[in-house]
Amino acid sequence: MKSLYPKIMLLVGGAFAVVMTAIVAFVYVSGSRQIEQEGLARAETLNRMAFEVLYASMRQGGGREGNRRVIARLQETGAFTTLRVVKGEPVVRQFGAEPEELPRDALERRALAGEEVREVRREGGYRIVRYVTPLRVQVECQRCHQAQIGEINGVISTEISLQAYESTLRQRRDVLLLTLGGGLLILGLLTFYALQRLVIRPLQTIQRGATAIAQGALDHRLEVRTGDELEVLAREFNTMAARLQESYVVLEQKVAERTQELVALNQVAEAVNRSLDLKETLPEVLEQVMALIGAEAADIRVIENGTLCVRTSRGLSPAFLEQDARVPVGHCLCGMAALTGRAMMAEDLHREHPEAECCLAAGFRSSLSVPVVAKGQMVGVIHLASSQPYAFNARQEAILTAVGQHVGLAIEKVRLYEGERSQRQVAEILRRASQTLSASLNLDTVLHTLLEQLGQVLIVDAGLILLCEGDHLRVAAVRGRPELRMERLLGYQIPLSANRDFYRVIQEKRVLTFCQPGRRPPFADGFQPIEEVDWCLVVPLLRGSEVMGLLAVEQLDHCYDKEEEPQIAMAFANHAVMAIENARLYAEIKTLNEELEARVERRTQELNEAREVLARQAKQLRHLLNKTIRIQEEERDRIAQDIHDGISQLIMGALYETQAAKVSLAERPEVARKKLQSAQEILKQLKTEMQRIIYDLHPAVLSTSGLVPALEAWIADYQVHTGVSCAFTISGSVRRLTPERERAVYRIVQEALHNIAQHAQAHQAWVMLTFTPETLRITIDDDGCGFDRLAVLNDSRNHLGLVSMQERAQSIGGELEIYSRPGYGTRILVQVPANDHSEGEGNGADSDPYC
Amino acid sequence: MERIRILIADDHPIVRQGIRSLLTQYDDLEVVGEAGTGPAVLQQAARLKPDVILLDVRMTGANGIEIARQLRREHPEIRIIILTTYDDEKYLYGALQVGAQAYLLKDVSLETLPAAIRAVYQGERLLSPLLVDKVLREFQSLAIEKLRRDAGLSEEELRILRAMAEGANNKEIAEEFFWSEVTVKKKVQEILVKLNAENRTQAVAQAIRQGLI
Repeated sequence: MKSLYPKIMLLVGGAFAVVMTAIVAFVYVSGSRQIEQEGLARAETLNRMAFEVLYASMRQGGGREGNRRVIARLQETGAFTTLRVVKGEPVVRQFGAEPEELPRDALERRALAGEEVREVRREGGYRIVRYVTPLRVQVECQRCHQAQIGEINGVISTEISLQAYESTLRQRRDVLLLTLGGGLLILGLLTFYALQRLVIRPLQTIQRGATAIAQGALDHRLEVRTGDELEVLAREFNTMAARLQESYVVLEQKVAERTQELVALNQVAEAVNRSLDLKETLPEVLEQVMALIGAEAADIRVIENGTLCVRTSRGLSPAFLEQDARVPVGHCLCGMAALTGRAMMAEDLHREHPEAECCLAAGFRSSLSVPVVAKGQMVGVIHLASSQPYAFNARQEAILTAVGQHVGLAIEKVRLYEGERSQRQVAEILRRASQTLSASLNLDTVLHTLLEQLGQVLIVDAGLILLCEGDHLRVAAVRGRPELRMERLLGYQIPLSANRDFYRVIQEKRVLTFCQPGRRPPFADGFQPIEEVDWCLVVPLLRGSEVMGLLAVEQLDHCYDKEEEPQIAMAFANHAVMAIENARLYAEIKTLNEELEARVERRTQELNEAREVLARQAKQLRHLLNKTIRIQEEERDRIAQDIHDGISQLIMGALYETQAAKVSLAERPEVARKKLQSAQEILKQLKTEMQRIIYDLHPAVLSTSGLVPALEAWIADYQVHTGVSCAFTISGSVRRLTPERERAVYRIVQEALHNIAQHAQAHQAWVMLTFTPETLRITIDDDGCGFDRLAVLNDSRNHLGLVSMQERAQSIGGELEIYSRPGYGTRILVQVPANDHSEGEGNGADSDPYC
Repeated sequence: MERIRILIADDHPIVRQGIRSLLTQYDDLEVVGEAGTGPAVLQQAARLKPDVILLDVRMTGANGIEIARQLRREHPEIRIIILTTYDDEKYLYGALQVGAQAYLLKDVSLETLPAAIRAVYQGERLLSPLLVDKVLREFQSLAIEKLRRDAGLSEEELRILRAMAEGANNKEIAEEFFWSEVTVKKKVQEILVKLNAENRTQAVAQAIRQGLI
């Protein structure tokens, strides 16, 4: 903060400086103007003097010499820096004057024109004044000039330096200014001193005093002896400080009291907040209260079922506690406080409340009871007592009321906490029960675990779960105190009718609680693990409206009377229902799965078998194809060989014969004829050979005459070539089949007879064709060695002939069966459709690659 | 007049009969025997000592060329005419190699057979005109092969030379043989050295002159 003193000083000093500067400036300016005017006046005077002197001389007709003398004398005065006279033009012309005396500058020329010219110029800070004055002819002088009187005949030019004159004047002025400034300065300083002494210092003293008081130095006093308003002000100030000092002491005392109360309340609040155990917090609160209020005895009572019960006390005799342990609400002072919710203060019990016998008996004269309120509800009373009358006042009452509110909050909090904790515990147990459900699919395990968990929430002596099975209840899970040996009950079957209570629960489908000390437990006669129970809770296991079983818990020696137990038990019962449901579904799914697996396995096996069959067939087909190709190649080789061996050699032979005939034709015609004869014979042979080969390639008779003639021809040839006798018989009306079918049957018979010739070691074969309206049946028998049909057919490598026969039969929609046994010959039975309608039944000739 | 004694070896009786029937028309030819199998041929040859054997290359149980080889070894004085329906090169070169005097195709030598027998008997060697081309082509390749060996050129180098003769530059050769140009350049240089040539043109000229290409 800026102090007042420099401000005042600055203000006064500033004003003073302005005035001083104004005075000095004024003096200086007026002095300077005066100097200037005086200087000019002096110069004017000098110039006039020189002019007059010269004029006088000229008027007297002093001539040039006279003039010169005057000028010289003027110059000698030293007043003029320069002084000269310049002649006018006519004079110059006339007298032939020297050039330097001719007019020189502009001023002189102006003066010659008749003007008086003055010029002031500065040099070195001082003025130099120059005058140029025209000189007019005063005397007629024919000798000197021809000018008329009054005509300008020259100028006088003077230059006067004002240095010496002005410097003197200035010195004088400066001395005056210095004197004036010094005087003013001294005056100013004196003013400052007085100001400081008379005003500033007392003000500072007062200010310091105020500061001291503000800083708490209430005993500070001011010493001002100025005798003016400031002294009055200081006096008033001192009075005020004294008053302030007094009131401060009182205030401080009050603050200390309030602080103590607040600390106590704070401690109460802290104690209340520190713990959720009322047994801990309430004594502490009581201690604080007693320390604060100073009562001899105190207690805290809590309302339980309309009665005030002492929870904690201090300074009270056991006798008092014994007598006053339970006070009904509305009774005595404490009861009234609890009833009305207002503090009850008795300043003198003797006088005011003679009915408060208990307190009076304990020797108390005054008492204070405040209600403990939580959420607008009375929950208890804090009670103070003293052996002195008038021991309590309104303040203490107010404080105690505040404490009462804290305690009320604490009690409420504890109640809330306990409620919340028990709910959380139940929730946790139920959550674990759910986990149990999902953890196992074994019904008995789940039920057992459920019971175990129920036992953690509901402290019971025994519990069991029974499942409905027909008209019986089966004990599925048990749990109980070890000495009850509940596990003996497991699996026990109780007829529904045997137990009245269970039957009732099942019929009514609702929870029933039995509280009946000394009651027989609800089990079948003859099986009594528990002699008697006080309390029993039976919950139906309901799925929809169906009762699946029962959950029963029992207590041996007391009853639960709250609503929670049935609810908790029902929650567990729901879990049990879910477990049963899960187990049932699981069992169903398991059965379904097993069925499905069995079916899949069956299918897989079938597929595998089919695949094997297919693989075997494919293998046979591959071999067949290979063999077919090989046969084709061999056939081609054979044909080529046939042609080479038979045809081309025959042709060669014939050629040689004809050549021989040609050679001998001229000389020995008969020889030639013989040769040609030979050639002809060879050619005949050639024709036969050709026919044989062609017939082998394609039996023309088959397409022209049909199956029967073709087979007749071929069998005849077969018998000749193989030496196997073959009987060929036909029954039914012979008719033509489609070309494909005829060709297939022809080849099948060929193959079969080839096999007989090659493998059967047979002597006799029988081929029989039986035509029926629908089919043609072909039977080929032999008396050969026979073979193990299955072994041969399964061995796909060696008996492609059989397979290819079968393929051929199938390709035309027919069937082929082989009957054979080692030592008993072989029968091959072929049945093919013989009418045109059944053409489409077979695969047709298109898909027969071997035909 | 001395007659040329002939043994006919063919596994087909009708062909044998035909040949005999033809040859008996000529007075200077005498068929002294026939044989249908390989062993029979050797046996008859040893017994009858014919001047000429007409031998089929394919005989039952034997290869005509093999029989010819044995005949040449055991009876070098007997002239052998291979008479066959096959113009297979294998038989042809085999026959020439074992030193048969003639190789004739049955169907084309009907009229010339007697003359052929006489010529062979006189010590000439004969070949059916149809076969001459084959033999000559074989000879040509053998000849070039020999020249190549003489010049010390590899077959690869010969191929390069041919490409050079067709006017291919190194780049084209490289593309044709799937080599790099550097490799081609190196190989060409080697060829120049082997042919004692100054440049490519000279090398090609040299190769043509020597008949390499």
